[in-house]
Amino acid sequence: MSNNAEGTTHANPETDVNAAVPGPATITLAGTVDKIFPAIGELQPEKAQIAVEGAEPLYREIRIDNSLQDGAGNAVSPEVGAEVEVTIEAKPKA
Amino acid sequence: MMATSVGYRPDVCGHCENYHSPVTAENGLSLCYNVESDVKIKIFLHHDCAEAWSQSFNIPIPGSGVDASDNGNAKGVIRILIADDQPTILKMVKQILQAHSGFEVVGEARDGCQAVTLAVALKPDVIVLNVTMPTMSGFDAARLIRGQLPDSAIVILSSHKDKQFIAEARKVGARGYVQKSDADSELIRAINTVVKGEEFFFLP
Repeated sequence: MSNNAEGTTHANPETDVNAAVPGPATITLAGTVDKIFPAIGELQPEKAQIAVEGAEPLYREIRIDNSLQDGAGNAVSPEVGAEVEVTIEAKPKA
Repeated sequence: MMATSVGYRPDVCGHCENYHSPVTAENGLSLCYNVESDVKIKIFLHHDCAEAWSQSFNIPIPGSGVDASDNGNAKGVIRILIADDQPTILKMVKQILQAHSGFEVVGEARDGCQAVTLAVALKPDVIVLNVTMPTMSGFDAARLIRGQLPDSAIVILSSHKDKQFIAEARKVGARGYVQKSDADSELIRAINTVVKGEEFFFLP
């Protein structure tokens, strides 16, 4: 696996030892929580809007449930300004 | 009439740089105004929730001989406040409404808190509220506005298609519900319906 200057990570079949069995292709982008939306009763949980760096201006925000888990399994709710990483993984073709 | 000017918070308003004599702010709302002529004044509103936000509108000056016919209401214009946290959606909704000669967008809010404050200050005929907004949801804002402005009609403009959201809209006192994907064709109809005291819950 290799990392380029933009933080992108993807499989490199020429240099990786395990490249014979290609893993999923991934890209990891930096992001920032820029809005928190309060829960709406039982209709909708608290949401976080994440602005993804490097995405096109009109398409850089994603909204997810603001309920993450840390390494110990504890629930974590990032606040506005929190820096996060957004990883996109493409499954290898069968 | 002698021209006078009163200002407030020059730090947040370029219009107010030459003004003085602060005006009392309520609920985080501040304003400044300047007499432009003998018949109208222009008011700039600011809210703590907003960054560099201002709204201007004209009102008749008491004792100036200008009666209510100078107001939009008396001319049959429907005064509308719109609230959405996405600037592109706000712009789109404003364009849809401004294309209609009978509508006037008197204010724009970026979150639920600001929507309540501006609704109370501007007393619009119709308030168009998004559901998912920072600080306070559109439903909570609608509930508060309904309590303070029973004569103002509320239309929820949402991307949600779930019937539970429509039921909740009715519960909080909204008279209308339009999906954002149908705004272009249905928002005008919704507003014209709710101002007559009727309901408009559009389900395609």
